Amino acid sequence: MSEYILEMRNIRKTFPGVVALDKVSFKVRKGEIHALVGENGAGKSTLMKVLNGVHQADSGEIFLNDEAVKIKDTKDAEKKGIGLVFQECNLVNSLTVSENMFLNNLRRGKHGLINWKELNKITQDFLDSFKFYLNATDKIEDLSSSQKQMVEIAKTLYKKPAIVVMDEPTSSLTTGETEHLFQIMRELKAQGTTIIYISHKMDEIFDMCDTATVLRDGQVIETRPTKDFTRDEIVERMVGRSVEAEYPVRTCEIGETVLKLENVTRNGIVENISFELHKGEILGLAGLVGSGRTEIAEAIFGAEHYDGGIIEVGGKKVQIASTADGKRNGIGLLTEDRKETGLVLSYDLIRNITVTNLKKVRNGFMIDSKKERQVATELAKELNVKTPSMMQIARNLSGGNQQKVVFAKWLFSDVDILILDEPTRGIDVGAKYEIYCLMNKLVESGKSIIMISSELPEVLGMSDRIVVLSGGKKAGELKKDQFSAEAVMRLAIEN
Amino acid sequence: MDKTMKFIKDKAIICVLVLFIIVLAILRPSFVSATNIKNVLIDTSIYGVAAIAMTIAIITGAFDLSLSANFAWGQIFFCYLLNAWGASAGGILLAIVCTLLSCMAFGAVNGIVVVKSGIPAWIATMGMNYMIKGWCLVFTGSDMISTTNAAVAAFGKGTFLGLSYLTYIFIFVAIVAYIVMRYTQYGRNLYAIGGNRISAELAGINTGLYRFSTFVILGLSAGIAGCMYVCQIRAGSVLYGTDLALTCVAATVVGGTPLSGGKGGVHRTVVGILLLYVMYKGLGFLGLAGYVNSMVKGIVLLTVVSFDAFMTQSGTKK
Amino acid sequence: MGKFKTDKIESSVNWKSMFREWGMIFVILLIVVVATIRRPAFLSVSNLINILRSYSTIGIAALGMAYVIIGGGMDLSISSTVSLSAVVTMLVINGTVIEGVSPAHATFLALAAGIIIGALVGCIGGGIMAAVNGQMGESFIITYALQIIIAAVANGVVGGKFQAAGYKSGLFKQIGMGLNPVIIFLVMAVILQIILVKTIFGRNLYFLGANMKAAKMAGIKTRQVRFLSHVICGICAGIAGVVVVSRVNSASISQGLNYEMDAMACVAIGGTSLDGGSGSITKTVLGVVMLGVLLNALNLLGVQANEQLIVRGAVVVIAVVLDTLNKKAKLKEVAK
Repeated sequence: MSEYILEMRNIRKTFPGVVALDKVSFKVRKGEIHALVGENGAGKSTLMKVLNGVHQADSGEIFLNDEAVKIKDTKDAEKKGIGLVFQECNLVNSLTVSENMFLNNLRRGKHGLINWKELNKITQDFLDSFKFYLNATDKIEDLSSSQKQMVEIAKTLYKKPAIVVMDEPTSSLTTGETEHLFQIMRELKAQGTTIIYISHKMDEIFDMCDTATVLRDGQVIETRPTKDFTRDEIVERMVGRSVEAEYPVRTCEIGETVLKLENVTRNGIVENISFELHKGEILGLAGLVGSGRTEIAEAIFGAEHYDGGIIEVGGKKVQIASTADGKRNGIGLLTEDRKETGLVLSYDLIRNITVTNLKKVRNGFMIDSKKERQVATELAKELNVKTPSMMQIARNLSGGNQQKVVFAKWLFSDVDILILDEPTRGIDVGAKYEIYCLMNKLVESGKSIIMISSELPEVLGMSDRIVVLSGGKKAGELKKDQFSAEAVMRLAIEN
Repeated sequence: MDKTMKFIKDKAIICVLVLFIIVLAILRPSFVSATNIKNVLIDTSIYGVAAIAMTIAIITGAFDLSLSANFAWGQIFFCYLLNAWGASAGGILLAIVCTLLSCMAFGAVNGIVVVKSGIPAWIATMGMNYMIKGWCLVFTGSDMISTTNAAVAAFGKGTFLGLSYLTYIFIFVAIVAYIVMRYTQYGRNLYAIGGNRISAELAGINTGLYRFSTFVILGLSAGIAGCMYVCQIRAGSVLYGTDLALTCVAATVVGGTPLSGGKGGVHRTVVGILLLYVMYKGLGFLGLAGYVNSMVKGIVLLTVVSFDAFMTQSGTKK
Repeated sequence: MGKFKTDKIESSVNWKSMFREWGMIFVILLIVVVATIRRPAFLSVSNLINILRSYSTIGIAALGMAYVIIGGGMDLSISSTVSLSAVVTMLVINGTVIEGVSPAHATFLALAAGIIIGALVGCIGGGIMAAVNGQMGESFIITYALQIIIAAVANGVVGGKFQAAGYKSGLFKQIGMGLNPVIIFLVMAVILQIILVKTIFGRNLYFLGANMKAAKMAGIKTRQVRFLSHVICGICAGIAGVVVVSRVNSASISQGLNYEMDAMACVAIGGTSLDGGSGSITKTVLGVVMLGVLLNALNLLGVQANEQLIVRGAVVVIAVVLDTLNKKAKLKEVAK
């Protein structure tokens, strides 16, 4: 028996029109923690879904303990000892922790009926044994997002898999919880469990993992023990070129206050948030997921109503009760989920761009289609949107180009204050750079930007000033000369 | 705070029910006479059986609007079979079985269309409602059909401990449904499917088959309710029970099972249907015109569903 | 990512996708052909005009329904709205005869009553839908409940009695005479189509139906748009009620029976997706013609009213199934 518990050989997986995995060969030693790194869309998740039976590979083989296997579906993967902790939450909100752990696998007592008492006790004992601070009878909908993530992990571990795949498990965890997860991982490793760990966070990879495999564009670039890698090497292999000049420089005068928040509160969500935004400024809004960044942005734009506090635009107090109010006051929000809320994917680019300000292309009561097309085309050209035609539907564009269309849409509306929620999420490196240049151009033309981002380097690289939120409150504000990753993190985890 | 709110929301419906009965008892003491209680419970029982199946479907995340027509078909076909075979006990039994099977077959068609094509259940079942209705009219020549079967009539009139046999059928169905939904893998999987179909699928649940099964259960319930109705009325017609589907939806939502799925329970629907019937019958007792009665039905449904939708909406904001 | 199949290789005709796209029209054509063979009069101009005439009132209601459906909603209350509008119109007409109001004024009053009633019902339905921010599922039950309530109101207004016209001629009758209903239908269709594609409200309605969240995040007043779509739908139903009363010269509380079903069928057969966000008035007009032709052909073939009910139900289900399968196939075709 070889030292490898898992080997995937020449895996190829295509989706219509896209090669997601191309001749991927991937080996994992028994009992190690193996990092799988790569950019969004590099194929990490797809590879793991093939391993877990969610997807079927077009060609290639999978060996478990040197034995060729076919994995038909998730149930089959489970039987073969492979457990996947999903990135997205896959729990049934209306059921309890123990029901979710035993989903479709409920233990039956006497008379073939479920003995809830016994079931809950088994669950509780298991949760306690790993020190998950969870209550077996709590409903999932009453838990926080990090607790839900812990339930996902517990659910997978209960099946005692030989290989555990964790797909960015820490993205919604606090620092304390992350540390707790690492303890669990160490314990699992001590018990001989193999872990495949997908993460973007270099610290975690170097702290926790024995080996790292870098994927790019559906291909394996390199596998090495982590101790033989340097950070820069990993990043270089991820992006395929050296990472210099990530953030373009701008020369821009910062002017008067355009937006002022005073003690803005959304009951139970964000509390007493105050900050100012100036003309020509990029204000970074940092904080962990769930710290209230998106929630405060929604309040400013009018997508959700706020319960208290004052919002001033251009020195005047305004009431923002709807998104239409926000727009009228010159505020635009580029949402973090462009596929769900940023664009209508089934509509063409023209419609998607002009929706924010159709009055501009109106002639009397009628929309002037010719003018509409012309204006939208110019805007798309200006932003360098790559598309065969303006009549193309938004779904057919790449992530970066979709994001540019969202930018075009808000530029079309002539708002002065743009709130960007995770503007570069899911976008490849080249397009990211273009987005940064675009942001610079916007502030240079006199607009102001609030940028929400989970990527710390991006916040540090692009902002003029950073406001850090923590647990729904403002934890602090950093000027350019105070910028450092440590300073932001310190504030972000302050409670 | 949250816990007390939940408790109040949970028990409020029972309080309202008791309050209703008290008010009616004061206004019209005969409302709480043994005969009237028995009669109200008979009507409650017939619709209640269907409401329980509707609740199961709603928990799974679908609802069935063809239940009304299927119920009518149950009556019509049962009457028809009774007239043909009803002379012997075996014949009656066979008639019941055939009626139930035919109603389940309609349910199965719904299930296949919804599960296989992936179209929303309400469109499929609404179309089906018209189709079954049309079929009933064709079958009866646009007429009603009646039966003079003595055994069935006797069963409809029979009582035990002051309650109609029909009420016991309802109680039996409710208990079985409760146990299945609470204490079996099958029931819990239905909750999981209604709560999050993708997770359920990932857990290896054959969601298509489960969803299909709820439509068959709905068909079965329509058949049982149809047979019960015939015992009571000794006739069948498409005009009877056109409001069944929506009354069942209303009873489910009033009881506290939201339309969003994955939550609630059949025991709540028992209270819900009781409340609706005490109210409807109470209004009848107060001597109001028929259209006022149906207006009240509409307003109750409207209010309840609007409130439910409003709560779901504000619930997702957080 | 970013690599797409730009070359659609179609070596042979794809019958499956052809059927999904055109299946409904294909089936209807088949029925027409059979009907024409058995009754050559079927394809005569007079018969076609007759079809248009008899289905123009359903058509008027379907136009409003199309608005609500494009906006991602559903309005089942229209059948009762048609009935209520019909009985109130008749009461107004009969009332004005006795009062001795001039025919022109009486006609105006009747028309106004129908429109106002439609608008009111639309306001109630639209108001609730806007308040709960609901989409298909909710609007379905809520407007169904409204249907029950409005039917009861109509019943209450006339006490369930059939209403015959007080006078047999006059200006009011002109509304439903000859080709007038068809003209009203077509004029309304043109106006509503222009509003739909050429105004901001129309565009916003499409966005609302395609993706309510995205519409909201683009700064569209979603509640206002939803509300308006129901009001327009109500008005259409109100007008349909007036026209139908004028045509048949009587009114009853079951005047609008099955209108919601037929209107929905017209919208769906025309090719407007019941998911919202696509389709048009033009398509709906086509749907009205197709449903009319279909039912008329069935009449000629000797299919009775009861069997036709089965066909109507099936038509809606088949139209929606084909639409859904079509969409699924298209999604599969597009990369990812």
